[in-house]
Amino acid sequence: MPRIHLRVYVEPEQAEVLCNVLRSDGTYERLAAVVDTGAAVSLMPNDLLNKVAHRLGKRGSFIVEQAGIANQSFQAVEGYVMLMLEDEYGQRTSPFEVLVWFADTKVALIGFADVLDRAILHIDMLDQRLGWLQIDA
Amino acid sequence: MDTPRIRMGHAYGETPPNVFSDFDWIRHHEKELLEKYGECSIIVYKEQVLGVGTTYDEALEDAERNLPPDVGVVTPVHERLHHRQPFFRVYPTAR
Repeated sequence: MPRIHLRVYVEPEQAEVLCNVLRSDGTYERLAAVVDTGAAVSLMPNDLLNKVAHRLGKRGSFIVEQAGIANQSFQAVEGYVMLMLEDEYGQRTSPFEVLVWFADTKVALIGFADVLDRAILHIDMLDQRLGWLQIDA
Repeated sequence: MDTPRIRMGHAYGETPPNVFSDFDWIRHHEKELLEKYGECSIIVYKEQVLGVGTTYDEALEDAERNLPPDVGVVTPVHERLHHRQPFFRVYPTAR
């Protein structure tokens, strides 16, 4: 299983991973995504819908209830994309299919469905300020 | 999705080396970039802002216009500048 190093930042604290999302033309769109253990499903900005190759999920366009701040909801399009994770040290996964929600957001999140639920996640903020995602892909 | 001189896509295993350093540069300069450009889409190549716009496509068009005539194909990154929330999720106490 490839071990993909995360990019760990402070102020604000977050861990990111470089995602490469397969586009309609066969190349990969590069996207810095926040690793979010609170996200059941990965989230992507909806302007990528017309750039990346995808197939619609069962729910198609739907409302996500109780997302983020309580009592808030947002419109999303459920789809599947081909994703490849990579780090600056040359480690990369094979492309694998991931369930994502496309929504009106400025931040891309990597969540559990098809990614974190098949990975070992390690983050060391105390000593080395580094992290990695070892994933079965 | 690309312009004549701007390539936002790459083949598997051929990620341009500037991609990692450019995303890093954006993170480390996020505050200054937000002060200068506000919330917007931004195109960055080798630690320089090539274009900005309210949408990804507008930023790409701006970057293409701003490229000097003697510059060939470039492989920048795109980021959506935004003010960060301290928490992604907040659940108030039950009323």
